[in-house]
Amino acid sequence: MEPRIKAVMAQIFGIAAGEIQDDSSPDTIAKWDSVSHMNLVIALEAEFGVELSEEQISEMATYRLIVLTIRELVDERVKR
Amino acid sequence: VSSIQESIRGVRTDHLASVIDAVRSLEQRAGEISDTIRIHFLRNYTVEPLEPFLKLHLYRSGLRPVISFGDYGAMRQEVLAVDSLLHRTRPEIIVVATVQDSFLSPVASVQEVDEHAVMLAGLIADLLPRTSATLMVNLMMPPLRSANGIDTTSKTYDPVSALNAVIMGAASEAPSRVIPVDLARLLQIVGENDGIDYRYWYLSRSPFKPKLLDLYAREIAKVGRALTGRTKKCIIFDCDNTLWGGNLGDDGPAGIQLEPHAYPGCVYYEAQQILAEFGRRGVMLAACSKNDERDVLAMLENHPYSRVKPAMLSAWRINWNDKAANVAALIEELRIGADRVVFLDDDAHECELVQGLLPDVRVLRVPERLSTYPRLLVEDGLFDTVSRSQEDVRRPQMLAEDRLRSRARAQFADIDEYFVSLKQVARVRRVPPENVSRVAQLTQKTNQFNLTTRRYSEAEICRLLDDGQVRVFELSVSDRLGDSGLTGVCIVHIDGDTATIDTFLLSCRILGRRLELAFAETCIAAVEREFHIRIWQAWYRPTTKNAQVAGFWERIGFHKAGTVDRAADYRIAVSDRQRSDYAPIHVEEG
Repeated sequence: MEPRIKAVMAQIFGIAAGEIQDDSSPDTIAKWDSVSHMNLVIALEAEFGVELSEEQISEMATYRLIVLTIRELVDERVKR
Repeated sequence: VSSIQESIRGVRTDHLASVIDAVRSLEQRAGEISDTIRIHFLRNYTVEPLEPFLKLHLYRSGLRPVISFGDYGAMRQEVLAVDSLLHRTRPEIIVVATVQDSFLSPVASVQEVDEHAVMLAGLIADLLPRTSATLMVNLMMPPLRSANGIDTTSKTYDPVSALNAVIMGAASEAPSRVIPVDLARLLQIVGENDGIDYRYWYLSRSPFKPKLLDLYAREIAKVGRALTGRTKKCIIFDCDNTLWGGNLGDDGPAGIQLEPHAYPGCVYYEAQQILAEFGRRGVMLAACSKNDERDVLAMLENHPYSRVKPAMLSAWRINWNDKAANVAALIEELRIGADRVVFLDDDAHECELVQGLLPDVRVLRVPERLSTYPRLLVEDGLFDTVSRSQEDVRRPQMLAEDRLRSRARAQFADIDEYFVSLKQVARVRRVPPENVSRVAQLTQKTNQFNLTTRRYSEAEICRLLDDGQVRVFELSVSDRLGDSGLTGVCIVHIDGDTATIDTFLLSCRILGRRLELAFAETCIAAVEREFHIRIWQAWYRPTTKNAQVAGFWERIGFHKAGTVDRAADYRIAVSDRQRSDYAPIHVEEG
């Protein structure tokens, strides 16, 4: 899952997947602004077939949190 | 540039990450594209997610986009402040992107919608005199849900329709300047699930999902194409399994499928109706088919359900030669650029052959899922123009007259004898207000006989007409075979004793008849009568399309003085100029 998340982030932010660290955030990735955050959410939703809540969208502010959020949503979907 | 086009062809617009990624790599090569289009957004919502889609569709059209966004909710200030971003960027298109609050919130405030409409009308009124851009104004979208929705007759159920009519009214008063965008219809196409993101509406006032943004971007790109002379002018179509189902040679006129009341005939019937409508709008229709010419023409003429008639065709090649050669011959006969041509065929091999040999031609293949065929013909708006003039509507008829003219050419000993027999009349005069639309359109659409290829909007032409140091002339032409209408534009700037020819263009429909000489000489003489001119200056700005006029100024007696930025600078003193001879054309002035 993590390589797929990194691949999506790389496409949205125009960076190499290898540059993405656990604590990568809007503070460390220049292109990560509010509009590209929106794009990131939409692209991740398409990639994993999930839908984030308003709270998840707002809180997902580092790579680590993205992984946790997506994993949680994918697990939920599998259970259902 | 064509390699750029190729790299875009496979991008899936339903996959946001691919779109963003593709646009990023296109941006790095944007320097290879010479034609720029500047688009500015005035908005009251977060419309930025539109940007990658819009850029993709503009790159697809061979345009380099420069896109800017006004401050959120500061529309009026931007319009009124002369040094705002809006005015500094000098956009060709201004998109007025607004939604009213009650669109997605079931509060159904009639008053809020009223205020929004007043704001929009005021914005349009303020923008028109302050810019020369084309305005694309969103119509208001009816509230998706109403707080008291069961009473569908109440004003709160649909507060927008009546007010949208007001915006449409403003648009119809300035038809080529204000283009209403019917977002509600685009939403109808994708539906609420794929169109609206309520999370982002409430989180950041960004209501639209990628599918809707993609359609919205396509609408803007259509206008961009129309404004930059990218409107297709001609559709060349195959016949078997394109105009009708089945094979005319094998099945005969009674066996092919074209009956409007049964599948699949109804689909072909509808396709023919669409093609015929294109013809009425001024698009040249041409048939290209491997068939017996007499069979096809008789079929089109006599079949009760054929909507495309031989008289609507500007040309045809119905024979057994290879398709690409036939298409190339048609392009030459019709004297248009390959990039103005759409080719329509059901056969994958033919499509590939034509695309391979004539990469500038836009190839459409009749889809295997036939029910999507009629939609394919219209969805990209390939033939859309921003302002439709009388000339467009008359064009096919004029081409029929051209066919007569070229047939007439064979009866004379030499070309001079032919010219004498034509009894050509060139009418040259300063552009009257009612012709501004056609003149602007000629500057936007003419590529081949165009010395400087400067594109002007209607507003810019109006401004030039009002300028005492500028003369804008038009040429209309008639001869014994018919009237070719308004087909030439010349714009001259006067600065002291120097007159500079800013624009000189002729529609390719009238080339090869010395009219260009008559027109140039008459404009020059008119300016010399009115102003004290000592020096004439003129420019030739080379493009990929206008090589044929590289030597034109020399024919008019100008000498090349130098080159600036690839543009050749021609000058001549009035007293030294050798006038060119355009006899036997009769010139009428005024």
